[in-house]
Amino acid sequence: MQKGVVHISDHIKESVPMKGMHLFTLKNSAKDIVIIMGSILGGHRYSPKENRALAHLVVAMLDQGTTRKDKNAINDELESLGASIQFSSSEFRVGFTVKCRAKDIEKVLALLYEQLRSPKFGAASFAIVQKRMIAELLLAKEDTEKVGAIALSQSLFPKDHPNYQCGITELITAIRRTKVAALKEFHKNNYGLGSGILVAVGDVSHGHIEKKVSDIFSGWRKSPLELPSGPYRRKTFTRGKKERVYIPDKTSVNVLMGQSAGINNTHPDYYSLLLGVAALGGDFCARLMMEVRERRGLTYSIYARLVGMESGVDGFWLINGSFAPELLQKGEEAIREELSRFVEKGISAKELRERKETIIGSFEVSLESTYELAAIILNNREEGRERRFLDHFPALINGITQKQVNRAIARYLDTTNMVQIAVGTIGSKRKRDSVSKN
Amino acid sequence: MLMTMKKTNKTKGNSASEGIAFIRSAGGIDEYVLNSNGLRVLLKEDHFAPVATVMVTYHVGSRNEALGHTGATHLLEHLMFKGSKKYNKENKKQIWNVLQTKGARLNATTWLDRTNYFETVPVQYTETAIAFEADRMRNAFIKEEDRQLEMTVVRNEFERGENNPIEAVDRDIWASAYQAHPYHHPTIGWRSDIENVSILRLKKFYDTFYWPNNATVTVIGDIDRVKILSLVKKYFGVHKRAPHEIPDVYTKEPEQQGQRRVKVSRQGQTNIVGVAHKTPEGLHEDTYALLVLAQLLGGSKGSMLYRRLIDKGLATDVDMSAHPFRDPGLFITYVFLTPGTTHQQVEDAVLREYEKIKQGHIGSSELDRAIAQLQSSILFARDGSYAIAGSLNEALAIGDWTFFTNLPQKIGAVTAKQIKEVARKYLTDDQSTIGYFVAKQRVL
Repeated sequence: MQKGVVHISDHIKESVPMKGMHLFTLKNSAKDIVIIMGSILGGHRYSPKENRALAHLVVAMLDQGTTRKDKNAINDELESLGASIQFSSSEFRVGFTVKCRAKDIEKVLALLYEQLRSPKFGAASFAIVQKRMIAELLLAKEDTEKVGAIALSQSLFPKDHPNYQCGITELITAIRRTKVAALKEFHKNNYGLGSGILVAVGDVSHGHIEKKVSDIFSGWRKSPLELPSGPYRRKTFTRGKKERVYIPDKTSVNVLMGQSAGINNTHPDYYSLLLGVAALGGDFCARLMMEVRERRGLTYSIYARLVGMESGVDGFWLINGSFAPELLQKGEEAIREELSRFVEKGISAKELRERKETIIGSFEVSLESTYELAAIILNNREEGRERRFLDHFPALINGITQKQVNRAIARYLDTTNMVQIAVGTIGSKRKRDSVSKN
Repeated sequence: MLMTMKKTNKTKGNSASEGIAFIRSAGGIDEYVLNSNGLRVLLKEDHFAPVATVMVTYHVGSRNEALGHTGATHLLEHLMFKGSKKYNKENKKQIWNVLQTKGARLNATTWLDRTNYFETVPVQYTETAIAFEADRMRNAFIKEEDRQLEMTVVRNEFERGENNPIEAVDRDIWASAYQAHPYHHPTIGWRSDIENVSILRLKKFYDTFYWPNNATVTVIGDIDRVKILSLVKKYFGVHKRAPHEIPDVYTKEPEQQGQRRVKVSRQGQTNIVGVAHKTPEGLHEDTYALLVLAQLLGGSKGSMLYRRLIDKGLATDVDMSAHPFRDPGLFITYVFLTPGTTHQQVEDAVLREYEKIKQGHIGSSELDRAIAQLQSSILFARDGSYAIAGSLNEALAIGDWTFFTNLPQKIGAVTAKQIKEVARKYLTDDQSTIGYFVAKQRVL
């Protein structure tokens, strides 16, 4: 790549090896290694209302053996190649990340396909997966940040919204009630090609991978799933409230503030708001870090960002900081004061210039890692963008004006109507102690 | 042996500027030394992306601290961002403003044996990163007003760590396993030391350890080797070598004579078992067999402890820690228990798997898989300039950067017999420390 001019899309090769599967490859300077990332539809959103954990449980069973091979045989095969396959689930998609040596691509892709296509769903394995997932959720009950994120999402969104996070107890109940037959049915009805994306970055040849993908995946049926078009947009903003959640024996309190924005990442205001929120709390030189940590010494970590605005879903802005219990009040006041100042006076021309440089420069820096390159290309496609978007991104950011950013700040950062949650060993021992509402 | 550049410039790819001596190459990485002050330099060119990483490793960590100023290395690391002669608030050239606003990823970390400062930058800002690191090497302000503000920041970092059950039990295991050696205390320090260490003590710490002859500069990425060497000489060459010997740590941990046990008890949901054993210093030849042993035991979904504990529903996770350190360290297995599983059940299960290894129950295919996994993870640890610099930083910490470049070959040579021998030698009852994290009650 030429210094200072990043046209990453020129290096990306793209094809459709078969109907329902889009392939992207990028050869970089990595020697002998390949990262493969991809996804198909089948995430949480497709779980039935009566069991919000079902899609996640199906994903958790993908590495528990197939109808042809038990899980130990698969693990042995992968490990003898020094390879790994990890599955994940997001709101809409089932994701997979493969790490392997370049020479082993064919073998590892075949294993990936087998795990996606023909999971065994053995009863004994499922009982153990259930037990493990419940234990992990119980652990999450002690995590001040996770508990705060769930409480905030439930205050910001209605239950049927993709950004609403189920309560831990509700998820545990759903996991306990799930039967193997439900997993099999969900998999049978939903998994398949149609929305498949596969990205391979590293020591790769596009022609070679294209042929292997075509040979291996071509027998898979088409999934009936489609990306929903909504409607998820909230027409009204959040009503302000303040809440304290008690967890015993914690030395640090997490404070989360946020507000539903009513827009997604295709909205004309999105990049203006992105720049505004980045100036507020995007990194160390953003306002919150400079004021609350650098000038007042109240916290180790505080940031602001936009959350949950992908795949056509309207999301929210979030501030998240940690404080010692005795500094909690000062911390909350400091955040509110800085936020009010920011909303009142807006972003300065200098701040905006610096934010633009930061975002564009960060994008450039992320291109050095095989893993990050694969993630960027995958995300771009999942969001339905052409690969040329990656080249246009800097110009898009540079084109945003100060007036646009300040209009977005005024429109979406409504300090009187935000939700504020503090989680830790504070206040009453009641689980949810709503102390005041503004 | 050090050779001047004039004598070595026939070596392909190692040409440097005057005053800089080439030392050696390994795994595509070249080592040089700045003759005037003893600063070591590691370079590697990679031209795919227009990005470079500049990393300075200081050979000082929390092992160089003592009672009363535990956490000083880390607190000083924070103060190093508060301004230096050429990069400061007053002239509006704080490093955050100068580099982070250009998209750079910059930060610093402190651990037992080293402190590192780094910037991954769009390549056109490589010189700025070098100039900044050179300036704060000897010209950092280290002021009392900054200490006061930063103390509460670091204390909150401490408090955030204390929120996490695994950090609490890990802290107590190390504190029990080490009684004399400074690995006894956590890198972040004890709370009262964080709160009370004086600025004079921190300044003295800086003036003792922050010198070019106690540091290594690593630059990796889309760089021109000759140009980078001249920039290193231009900016770091202004510093003299330390006017004193850099003090070494002479405290040795007395031999442990019997098992030690610790328990952390809090309200909550978590139950954890930690099984720790003393290991040799990182550069000891047994380290390679211990790394393969850790992989065999708990490094993957097919590993012995994963099958024994997670596949049987006794645990949610197994986490192995066999990181090599400069001085003798710890080989630790952490297990996160499922509800209904007892600590004793898991402790017994872990020790039973250790016993199998000691009895030589290691299949050749199991060993081959563990080695393949480790070698593959080393390859992935070279993914990008920051990843390579970070791996070199850890090898520098234990005393030799070629530990990183030689690792694949050394790992590949480990035999089942060596693994059995290291298990018998180090995984003994007398050298163990067992830690329990016990949830006092369930909060639903």
